[in-house]
Amino acid sequence: MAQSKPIAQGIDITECKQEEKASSRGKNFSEAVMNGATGLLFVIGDKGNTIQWNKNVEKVTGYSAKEISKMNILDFVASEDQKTAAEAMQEVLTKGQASLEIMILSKPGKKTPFYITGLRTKLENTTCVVCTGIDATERKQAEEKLLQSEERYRTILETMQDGYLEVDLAGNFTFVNAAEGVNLGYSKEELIGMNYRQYQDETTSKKMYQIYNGIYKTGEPAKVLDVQVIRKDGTKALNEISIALMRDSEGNPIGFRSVSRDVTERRQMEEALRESEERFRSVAQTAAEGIINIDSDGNVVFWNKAAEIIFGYSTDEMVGRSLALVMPERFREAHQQGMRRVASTGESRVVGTTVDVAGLAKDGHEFPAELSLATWKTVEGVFFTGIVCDITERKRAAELLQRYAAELERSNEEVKNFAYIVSHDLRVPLVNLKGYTSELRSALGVIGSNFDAALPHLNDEKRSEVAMALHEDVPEALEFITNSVSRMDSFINAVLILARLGRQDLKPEPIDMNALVQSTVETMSHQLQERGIEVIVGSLPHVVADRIAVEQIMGNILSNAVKYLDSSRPGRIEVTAQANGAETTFRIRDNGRGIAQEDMDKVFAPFRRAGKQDTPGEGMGLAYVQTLLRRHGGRIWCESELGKGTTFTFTISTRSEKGARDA
Amino acid sequence: MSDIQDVTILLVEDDPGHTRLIEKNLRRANIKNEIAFATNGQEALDYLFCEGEYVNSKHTSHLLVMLDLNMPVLDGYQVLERMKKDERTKRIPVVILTTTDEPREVRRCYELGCNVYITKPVDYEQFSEAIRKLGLFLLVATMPNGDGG
Repeated sequence: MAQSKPIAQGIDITECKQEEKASSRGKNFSEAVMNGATGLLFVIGDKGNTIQWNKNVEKVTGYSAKEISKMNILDFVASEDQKTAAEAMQEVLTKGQASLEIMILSKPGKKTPFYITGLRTKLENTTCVVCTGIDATERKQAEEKLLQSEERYRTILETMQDGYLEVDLAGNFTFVNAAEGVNLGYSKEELIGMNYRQYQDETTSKKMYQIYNGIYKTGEPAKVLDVQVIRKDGTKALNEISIALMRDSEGNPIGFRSVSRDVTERRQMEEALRESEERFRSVAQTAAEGIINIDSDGNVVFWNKAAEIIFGYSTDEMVGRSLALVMPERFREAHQQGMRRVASTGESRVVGTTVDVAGLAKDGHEFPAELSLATWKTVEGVFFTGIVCDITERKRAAELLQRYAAELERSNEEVKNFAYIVSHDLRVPLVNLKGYTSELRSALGVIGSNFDAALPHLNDEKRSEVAMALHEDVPEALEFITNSVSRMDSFINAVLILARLGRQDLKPEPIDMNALVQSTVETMSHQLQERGIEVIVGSLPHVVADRIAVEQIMGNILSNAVKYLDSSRPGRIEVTAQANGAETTFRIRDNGRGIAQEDMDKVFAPFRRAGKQDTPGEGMGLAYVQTLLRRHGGRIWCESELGKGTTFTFTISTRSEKGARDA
Repeated sequence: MSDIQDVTILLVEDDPGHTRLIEKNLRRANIKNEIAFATNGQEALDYLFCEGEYVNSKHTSHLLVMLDLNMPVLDGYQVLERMKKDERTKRIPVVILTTTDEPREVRRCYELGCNVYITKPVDYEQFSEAIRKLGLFLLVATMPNGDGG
């Protein structure tokens, strides 16, 4: 030990001092030795009084030799170490030796840690103590550093997520950190002394044995991936383990230290990711839409089968090349600008939307396409996914549909005009038919009145023949013609009315349906009273519609109900309504004779009258009603049971202004 | 002011049957005026403006036009419009005599400046009655000078 030397020197010195005739050479020698010694050197009496000291004492304490000569050894000790120092002094005196670490207090008040060793001895038969002190500042700092460092490693070990463990050469745990315990589901205490084989199956532990063996032989650390471990609860986990050989201070292997990480979740995630990628690929490859991924430079990174078909470029041809290749020239600049804008501002006009674009196939043909764009960020940057549909067919179909719709509208218009024109033009010959029939009748009258004068010139047979023609055949023929023309005229009038209803302007206004139905019922009151018909009107809402049209609608349905009641039972007609949001539904129910199932399709047809007819009419009423309702954006239908009654239900659009377009 | 007797009636009608019936009934109503006939609108205008077929003729009397609406070449509306726009013919009375009774057609004719609108009833008695009444009306009506000045 380093301290033992100055003590020996000290003894040497005291022995030298004992020589009364000590030569000055000897004295000089001892002083040289004392002053040459590093550290402090004191010789003190049993009361602690200073006897002799080296120069270092003056240097360290800052006291002069004169001052020191009057001081006690304890005067150099910092207050907090006074007690310890006094005890050590006692110990030296009783046991002969003591050592301690104390703070030396200098004259200016500076504290310095010193390692002091005291040795009891006799000097000229007086008990005295030789003290040596070594500056412990550096060692203390080093110790503290070590302590801190240890603390740091301990903290790291205990707080890190990775498991840390040490095993001896037999594989028994000698140290584990908290995380390792958590990883394996055991407490730290349970793990110490356990062997690694206890939480691995046979295959794994055999494999691990080989690895440990290899590390032992080569001294090279190893990293083992996906080591299956069995937790205390029996569940399996995957660990990634880094193992290094552990040696003692002589360099002999004493065991292994390893850091292990539970990668179960990561592996599961990787697996899930792989599966999801697999799924994406299979979906992407089977999708009918072209699926294209591009990076932020606009270069293709993914190109599915449908894209191959749509554009005619294979995946190999496209991956790594600019998407601009499949765009008509005139769109490329806008595309590049869009890409730059997204890159610089992160904003895009098309991401998240579906836009109509034009595609350019490998064979040079251009086609309309629909593009939906999504963007996603990865560590490698921003990527775009485009879903592309060749909409040539769809566009063609849409155009066709549009053309059909226009044609339909046109032909609809033509039909309406046709009905209108025809009904007018048909009247022209009717006027003639009627007119000349009438002229014929007058002419016949003239002939008839002069017939008698011609009688003598005819024989009996001829006479009766002519009389027959004159008085029966011709008038009868004229009668048929006249009646037919009248009927035709009324048909034409009906068609004209129907055509007019389809053309006339509607003036929507708010209508109190209660009042309207009441007044309609009142116009029929005579008939109702006479036949004992009961009309029940429920609470009816307001509607916005053309008043005249609604009057016609209600009038027609109600008069039909009255017309076709069953005379065998008291008539009963019920009018109810229900407003439900966009439309109001009216229901007119009667207990009349009803309509046979096979006649139902005639109900709304023009000139058709269903069932037994005992009342006059052209069969146009419900055709008018249907036309008027259609123009109001409404519908009408009827339910009926023969012999029980009929219910007409119609709807009127609540926002009738909007519904009042041409039906 | 001119006497109704001096007025020539121009009957513009494409259907010969109608023409004849109108003529018959006018005569029965004691209308003895000269009646000129045109079977379409163009012919009517030619007559009125002494053009085409009538380029060398000159109207010696005042005119009254009975005009059908649905006609080939030029229809009644066009004739009416041209007449009312032209200084020479705008004062000639026009009676629309047609099968149409569509309210908007009636309105249109009055807007264009027709003087009377009569719908030809299909029923002949009513037809005769309408023409007879028109004849009676003409007998009492006062006509403007039709010569444009």
